[in-house]
Amino acid sequence: MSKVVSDLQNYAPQAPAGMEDRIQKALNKKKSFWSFSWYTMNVYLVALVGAGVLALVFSNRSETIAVAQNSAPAATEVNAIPASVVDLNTSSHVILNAEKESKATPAKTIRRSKIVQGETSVSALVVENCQSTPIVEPAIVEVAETVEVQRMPEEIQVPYPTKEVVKAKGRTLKLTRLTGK
Amino acid sequence: MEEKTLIQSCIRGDKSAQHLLYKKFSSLVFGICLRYAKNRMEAEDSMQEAFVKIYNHLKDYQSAGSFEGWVRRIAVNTAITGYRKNLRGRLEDEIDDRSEYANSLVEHHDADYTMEELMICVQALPSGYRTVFNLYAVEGYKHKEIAEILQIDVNTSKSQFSRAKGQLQKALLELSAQKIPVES
Repeated sequence: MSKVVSDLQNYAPQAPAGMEDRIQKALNKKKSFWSFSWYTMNVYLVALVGAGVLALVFSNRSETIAVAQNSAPAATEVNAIPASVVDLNTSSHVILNAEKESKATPAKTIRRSKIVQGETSVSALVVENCQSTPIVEPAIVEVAETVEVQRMPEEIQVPYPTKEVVKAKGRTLKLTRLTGK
Repeated sequence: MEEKTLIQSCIRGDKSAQHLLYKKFSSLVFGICLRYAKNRMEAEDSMQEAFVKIYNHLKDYQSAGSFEGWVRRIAVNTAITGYRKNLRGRLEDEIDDRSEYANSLVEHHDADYTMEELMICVQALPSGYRTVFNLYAVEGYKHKEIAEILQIDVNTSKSQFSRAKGQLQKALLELSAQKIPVES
């Protein structure tokens, strides 16, 4: 085994042809990574612009969330004025009794609430929110609109389809047994 | 050209000096790479990597030891790095007990082989065996050092060397047997 080991220690074969060029190429390639070139410059530029756009998008997104949180109204319950139902057939302002009311088409009341708030810049709101000062509650103005529903003066009656037996006209044939009688 | 001047010229990027350095050490480095590699192609890749490292780290060389020793160490370290990279793919090679029989064989003294044949036998060893054998028998590392380098147990290093030795002996015996003419 000692002979094998000494043979292996002294083994120095000729290097393959073209190896030196290959090494030089690898060496230059490694160097050029850090040296200036328009190609790498463009890559860096594109990466930089991409990163900027992403940063912008994310900053806008967080700002929108902050605004949404600030603009949430303090009071959410709205007491609307009950709508009055008017019978137009009687051409008077008598309120229909309960029976009639139940039969009549229910009045529809559209409730709208407006948030009236002084325009404040987003940054001011954010700053305000961060400080311990009380938040200005938005005043809510209720607008109740009554939509009057007109009752149809005439009832449209849709006739039920009646069964009509249509008898065949002409001679009636009498079937006789084929007995010969 | 003197070695120190050659090194300084290589650091400055002198192509002719780099060529001279390559001519001087290419055989040594290629021999080391062949011993650690599975085949010639792998050895060439390892050699390229080793020379790139040598050129790039010439400035780190301190003239305390011999320059040849420094070059040799870089080549060996590059080969070990390559072995570590491919370790996962070659794990199944390590589970091989075929050498148990060969281990019991007597020492083979007068083996008749060429260097190419010996290299084929070494390359035929499983990568783990080959690396441990090279580090212990050829480079002269201790089993403890090998265990640290390859991140294995000391006993693993010992057993792998023993198996590698046995397998190599068996291969060389077979080679000799093929060459001896059959007596009628």
